[in-house]
Amino acid sequence: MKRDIKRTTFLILEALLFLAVSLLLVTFVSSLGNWIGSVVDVKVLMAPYWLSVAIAVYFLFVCHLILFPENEKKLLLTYRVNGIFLAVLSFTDALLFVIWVATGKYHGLVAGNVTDLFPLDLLLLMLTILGFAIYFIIRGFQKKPLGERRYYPYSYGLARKIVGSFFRGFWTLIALYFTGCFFLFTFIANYGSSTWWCSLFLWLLLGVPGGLLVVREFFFRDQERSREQNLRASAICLLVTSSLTLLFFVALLIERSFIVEDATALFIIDFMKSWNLAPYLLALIANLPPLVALIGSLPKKKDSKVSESH
Amino acid sequence: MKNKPLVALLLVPLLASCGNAEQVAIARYFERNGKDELVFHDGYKVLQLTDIHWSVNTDTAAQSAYLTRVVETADPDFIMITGDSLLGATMSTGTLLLDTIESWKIPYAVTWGNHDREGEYSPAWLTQLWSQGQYSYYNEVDDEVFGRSNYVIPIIDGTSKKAVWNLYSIDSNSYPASDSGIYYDYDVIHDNQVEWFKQAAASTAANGAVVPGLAFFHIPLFQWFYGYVDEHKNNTEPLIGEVLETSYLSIAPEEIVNLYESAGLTKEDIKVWAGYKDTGFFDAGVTNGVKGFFCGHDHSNDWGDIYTDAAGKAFIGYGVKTGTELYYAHSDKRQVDMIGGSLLTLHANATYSIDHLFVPTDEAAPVVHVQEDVVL
Repeated sequence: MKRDIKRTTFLILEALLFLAVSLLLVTFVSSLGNWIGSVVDVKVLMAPYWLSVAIAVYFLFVCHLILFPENEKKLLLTYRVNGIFLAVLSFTDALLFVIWVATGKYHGLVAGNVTDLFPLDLLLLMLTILGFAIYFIIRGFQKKPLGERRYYPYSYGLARKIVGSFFRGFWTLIALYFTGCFFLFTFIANYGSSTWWCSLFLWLLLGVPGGLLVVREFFFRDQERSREQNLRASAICLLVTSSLTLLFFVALLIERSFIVEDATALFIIDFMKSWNLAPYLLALIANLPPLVALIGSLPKKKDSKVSESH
Repeated sequence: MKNKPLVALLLVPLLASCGNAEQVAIARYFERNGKDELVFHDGYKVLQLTDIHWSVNTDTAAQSAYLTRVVETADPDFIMITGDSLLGATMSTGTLLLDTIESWKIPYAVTWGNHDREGEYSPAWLTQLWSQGQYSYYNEVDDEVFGRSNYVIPIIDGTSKKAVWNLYSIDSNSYPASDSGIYYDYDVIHDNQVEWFKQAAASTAANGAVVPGLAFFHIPLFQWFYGYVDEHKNNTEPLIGEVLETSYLSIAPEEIVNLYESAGLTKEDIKVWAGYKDTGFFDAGVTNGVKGFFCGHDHSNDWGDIYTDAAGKAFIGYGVKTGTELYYAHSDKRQVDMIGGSLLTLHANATYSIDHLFVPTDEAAPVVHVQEDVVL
């Protein structure tokens, strides 16, 4: 029971970290979009900031690996290798922030151009991550046994593992971005707009990629399920996501300008380039995982009764 | 029929109240929100700043110092900021920009550009930002007129208290949903904004004489295409500036492609990124006293010329892009980086001059002035 509470606490903390990183990523995309479209070279100026966002994403991934280890050997390796990398990176970035402030590239510890407390807030974040990294290293190298815990062995071949790792990483980044948009939207929304009902479908759809991750990682990985159970779950997910997508496109057809009016901040690269691609990408990202899961759960000729959900 | 006198009796106060409501509604576009009247003097200077484009990447201290240098060089009586002040900014960035503008202690007004709403804040927050400044004359009326920054700032005669010049801020909006649904055009000044403008301008006319005005907005009108093509057809030089923007060939309207080709130009020569159609704002403007139409938007253009059509004539042109953010051009012809501001000096006889101020980022380098009188 005590172990369950501890694990639930860690999972909640990971979810909160996911949320914080997702918000960081939205601002990072704005920064990157501006840099790409700009003739002014800001890569030196913004390097510590960009690196800090990359480190925060990396830290999230490491935390997830620690919470869902394949086996004890891999867990120890994660503590050691990723701990060292995280420590080096976060220390370097913290140092860069200090140097940038000391040399006047950032006009003080509270320059304020990204957030009110920038770069102080990110400097403190890097020091916090450095603290965790040092803890990971100690944990990885100490002789003390890791204790009883659940492992999540990978049951497919190496090729699928490599492809899956890249795909999941990439997909998680996009899910992080849209989750950031989902939360950002709650305080940048054009409340009182006549097109609020269109925005509602967009807002819900923005929450889908992150929501799917939470459902899969937190509720589906701790227990084995039958193919029928997976089929039912993925069918329900697909029904929900496709219904939201349909409603979103109906809203687009009826009130085509609602994204322009209410959601330009969320799709900044689209509007910088005069594209209208992000809503279609969102629709794809929201529907692809449940569709893949559904296809994967369909009965095959040599059907095994029990399979792990992936 | 028997009730006709009664109906008339009921209708008279009703119609009268409608008239009052209309007057009150128009008057609201002139509200100064407790600020002092702007009192005219001959040589009254209006500085147009445009496309400041502060983002999370902006070195705000350096850019703030640059903007201040532009303003100190121009020494204006009033500052008009014509959109795209922010892009990909946070509330923190926006607040820093406002602090810089307020530090000049000069009255100013702001129009919205297409990129201004692309930041981590709500449109209501940006409205609040522009409204809260001590020196701000920004006015956003809660109405049915399309867009946000539609308002009028009269510059009055100190004695008669009548408007000598009107400064019109018009929201040229951002993006309409395009036909394909894949690509966004740029929006236009909508029909009901044009109707509102006509009423607002007419409300200041005395004895049938309209008050001369200058219109400020962000996205150029179709007349920018027409004016450029006219110059090419007539083999004349523009009154001021150059067109150095990248070409608009991918989404240029077909009628504009045809117009350019009929003048011996090609699609690649279309370097004006105007709204997607002509909604008649130029014609409404010139018939209601507007002597100059000023936009931003195309950072690499500072072109301007006198344009004439059946409705009348006026100066149309770009402001000089302010600051180095996002992108700007270098003019080989004039040997300047095209950054700085545009200073308009107004006279009592409804004439004015334009001074394109090119203020280099290097403080030691000289400021270049290109000055022209606008004679209509």
